[in-house]
Amino acid sequence: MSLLTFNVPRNIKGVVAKLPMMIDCQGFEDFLVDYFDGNLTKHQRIIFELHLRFCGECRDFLRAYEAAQILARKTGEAVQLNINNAPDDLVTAIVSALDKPYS
Amino acid sequence: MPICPPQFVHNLGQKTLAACNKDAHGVEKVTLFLNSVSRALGESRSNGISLDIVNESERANAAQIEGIVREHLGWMLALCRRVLGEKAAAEDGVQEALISIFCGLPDLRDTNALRAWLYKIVLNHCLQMLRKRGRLNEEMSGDLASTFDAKGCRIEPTWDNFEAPEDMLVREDMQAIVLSKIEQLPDQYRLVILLRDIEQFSTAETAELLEISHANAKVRLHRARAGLKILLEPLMRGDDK
Repeated sequence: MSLLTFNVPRNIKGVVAKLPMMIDCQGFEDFLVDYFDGNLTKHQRIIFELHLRFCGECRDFLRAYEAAQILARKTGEAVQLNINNAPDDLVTAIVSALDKPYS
Repeated sequence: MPICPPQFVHNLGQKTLAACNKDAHGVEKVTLFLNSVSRALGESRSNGISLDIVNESERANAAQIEGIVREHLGWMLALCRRVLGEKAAAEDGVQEALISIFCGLPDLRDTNALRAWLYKIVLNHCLQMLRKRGRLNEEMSGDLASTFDAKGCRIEPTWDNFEAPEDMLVREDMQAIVLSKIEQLPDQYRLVILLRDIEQFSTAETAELLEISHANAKVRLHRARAGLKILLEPLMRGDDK
C-alpha cells in the first residue's frame, strides 16, 4: 500500500476511532466486500483508507484476507480448466444411450 | 413441453447407471435413479403432458441433447462434486438434474440462457441434497471469526512471516489444500465462496443463485472469507512445515 502509514497503540485506538471520519476495526470489516467488489463510494473509500493508515492490525488482516481470496480464485481458475474431465465411461454411456433412443 | 420419450429416458438411465455401477454404491444408485425416472415420468403424465412423441423433430432434438451432454456434462459433474463434496453424491446429483433437464428443455438456440438454466437446475438439485443432510443452516464457529477487544479494536497475532499467495501457489498440492480448507466451512458459507470466488460469479449473481438477499450474501461472503483466511493462516505464516 502506497499510503503513509503508522501504528496507533491499541490503548488509544478506541479514542481515535471516535474522531470524525474514523471507524473501529469491527466497522472496518463491514466495508470489505464492497471494497473488493469496487463498490465503495468516494466517501466510504476515504474512511476505509484512513483507518488503514493508522491500524497496523487491519493492514495485516487485509493482506492475509486478500491472500485467501487470491488462493481461492486461483484454485477456481485451475478447477475451471479441469472441468472437461468428466469420466469417459459416463460420457460414452449417456451418448450411446442417445444413439439408439427407440430400441 | 418435454421432448424425451419414456424409452429414451429408460435407455439413458440404464446406460448411465451401467457406467456408474462400478463402485460400491451401485445398487443403491440404480434404485434411486429408477425411482427418479418413474417420478419424473409420472409427474409429467399427471400434468397432462404426453411424452410419447415420435416424429422427426424429436430426432432432431435427440441430436441436440447429445450436443448438450457433450458440452455440459463436465462442468455439471464438477459443480456437483464441489457443492456436494463427494463423488457418489455428485453423480447422484447429476443424474437427478439430468432428469429435470431432459424433461423440460427450453429454447435450445439461446446458448447463454441454456447454460444459465442448466446451472440453476444442477445447483438447485445440489442444494436440495444439502438440505436433506440438514446442515445448511449451520453457523460459523467462533474460532473462524475475527476477534476484537471491548473497544472494537482487532486482536491479531503479530505476523513475523508472511508467505505471498504467488509463492504458496508454487506448491503442487496447494489447490487441493485450499479446496479442503473451503470444505471445512459450514455449508452456507462454503457455498458463497464456491460461487463467488471459485465459480467467479458476481456477489449479486451469487445472491440470486442462492435465493438470498444481496445484503445477506455480503455478510455470508465476508464471514466465509474471514473464516478461510483463518484456516489458511498457518500456511501463510509458514507454521505448517
